Amino acid sequence: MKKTIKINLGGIIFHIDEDAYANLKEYLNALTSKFGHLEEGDEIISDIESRIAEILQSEIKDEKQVINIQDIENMKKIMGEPEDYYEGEQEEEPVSVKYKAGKRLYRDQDNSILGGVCNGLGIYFDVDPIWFRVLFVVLFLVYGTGLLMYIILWVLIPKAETTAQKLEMRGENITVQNIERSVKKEYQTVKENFNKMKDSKGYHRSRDAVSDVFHGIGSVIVVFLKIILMIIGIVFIITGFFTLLAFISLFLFKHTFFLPDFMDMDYFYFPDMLGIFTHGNNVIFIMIAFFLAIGIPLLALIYGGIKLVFRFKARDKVIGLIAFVLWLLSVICLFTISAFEGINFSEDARVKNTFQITGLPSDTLYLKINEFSKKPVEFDKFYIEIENVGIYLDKSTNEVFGKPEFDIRKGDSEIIELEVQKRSNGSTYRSAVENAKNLIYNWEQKDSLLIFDSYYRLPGGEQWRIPHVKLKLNLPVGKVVYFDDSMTKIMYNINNTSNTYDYDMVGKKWIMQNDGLTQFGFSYPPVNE
Amino acid sequence: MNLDNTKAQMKKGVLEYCILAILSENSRYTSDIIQELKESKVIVVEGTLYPLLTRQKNAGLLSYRWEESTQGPPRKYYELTDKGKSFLKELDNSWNDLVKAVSLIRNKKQTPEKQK
Repeated sequence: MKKTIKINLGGIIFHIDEDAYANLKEYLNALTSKFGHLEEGDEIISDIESRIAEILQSEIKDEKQVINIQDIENMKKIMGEPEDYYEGEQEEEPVSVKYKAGKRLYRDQDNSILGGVCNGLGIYFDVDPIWFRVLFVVLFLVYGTGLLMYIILWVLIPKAETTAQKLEMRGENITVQNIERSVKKEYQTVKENFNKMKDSKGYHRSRDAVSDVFHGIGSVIVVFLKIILMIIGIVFIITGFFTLLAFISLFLFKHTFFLPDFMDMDYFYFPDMLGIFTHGNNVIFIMIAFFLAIGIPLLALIYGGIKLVFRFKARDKVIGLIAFVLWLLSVICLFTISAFEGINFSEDARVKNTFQITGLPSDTLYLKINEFSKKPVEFDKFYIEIENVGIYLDKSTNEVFGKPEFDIRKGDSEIIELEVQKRSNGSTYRSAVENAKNLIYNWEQKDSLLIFDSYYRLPGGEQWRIPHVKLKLNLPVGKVVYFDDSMTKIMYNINNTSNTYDYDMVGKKWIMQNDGLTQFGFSYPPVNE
Repeated sequence: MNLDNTKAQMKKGVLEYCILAILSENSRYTSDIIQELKESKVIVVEGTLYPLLTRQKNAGLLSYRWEESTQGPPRKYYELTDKGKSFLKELDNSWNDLVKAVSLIRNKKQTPEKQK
């Protein structure tokens, strides 16, 4: 028993055995690869199909309704193999020459383990495919990049199906001579066409010698350009590959390589960073959109490079279109999300609380940092720092921290006051006020000691909306402050009469005078040395 | 020099001429054309003919008409156009010249003494 298939050939329905069908299909594929790229290719193929239909029709009798493999073989004997059709006609068909002269990259699935990518590459480069297998396995260990590359190549590189393609796969090696030869042939046809045009328009052909020289120079230039294109292609592949690698590791893994050191992002992890600004669901959206928006152009770059270096016919129109649409969608998605996120920053508000510092045993106030205050764990944090405004993320608790600014002003009243000013943005003024109020900052007074936290922080789960905390100590004239060494962490450009830097002010007593903060016990005016 | 290639080159030029010559009297179906070509051993497989016919048709040398067939799809019957006819005439002339030239050269070589 045999399975038969119903086919339509030249408008006639045939019942055909499965193996005969495979044989016929291979024959027609070979025809297509031979003529399909020609202008008149479709017509030639349909004429031949009609003739095949006619030949097969004559094999059908009342007692034999199904086309078998013998019929196909008989038909082939009449029609001949496509390889034999064109004997000695290369010169007339520059396109087919171009396809014949060089090797093309195909997947060889006959002896393959997976998709035949490594086999194909091996055949293309005349190298044992085992080396490519090793390469892909090694790259697989590098964050799975090898797998991604393999799948991309699997999709892009066509499989060698027909005999013609299998021949092409093993064709001549790509050498400079081969390139030169094919270029020369291309030139020949260009020249012929040009001459035809000249004839038809009544041009004279007296300058053949001169034009030959130009053609010679031209083909040298073209060969040169092709080599340059290949080099550009290799650069594309390498750049694209490593950027993609860095990019993937940035997204999927908690540390990265290939990122420049100066960015101070040793512990940079993109999803964590996004989590500071937006809510969980959005993070996933943004991640996907971001990945596509950057990944697709990178893949396109690699693909462009591969196309420049290797010669293969790829099914790239549909894939290209899909990729472009995906890319466009991802960019639109990013813009939309950013716009919606932007609304959360549209209003800003400041909340100010003033505390009176009383009950001091003397006129001197001691200032220090609470060493036990909550702060991001030193080696498990991610931070961005621009000027003095820093965002710190403790990755174990997912809490966002920031550094407050501490300043001292001359107080108007007799009492020392501490002003704590919190600010934040929000979608409305009300929510901005709410966000500002929610900022957590602790300090305490112990007799003559003021103890400050080194960081303010956002309550767990809250997003970063440009928060900030400013501490202002209003110091009346005659009062003295002492800065502990630890205070450098939050001191921010404290004005003083001697223009001393913050880090030089610590460990000393400073007295508020009418013209500003002055080092205690310092003779006035300051000594000139 | 590759013998097969040279042979093929020679045949190729002649083949186009032969097709036009076969069509000079009346319109023919492809398999009729092939029959004559096979008899005269110019080509052996039919497939070779289709690209040539299509190209000659596109060059304006041939035209075709459809004719219903009892044993399959409708057939294309090719015939010479006016352009094809004058083209054929030119080829006839140059063929005669060519044959004359070749035989002249060959006769000279084979029997140089007779020529004197």
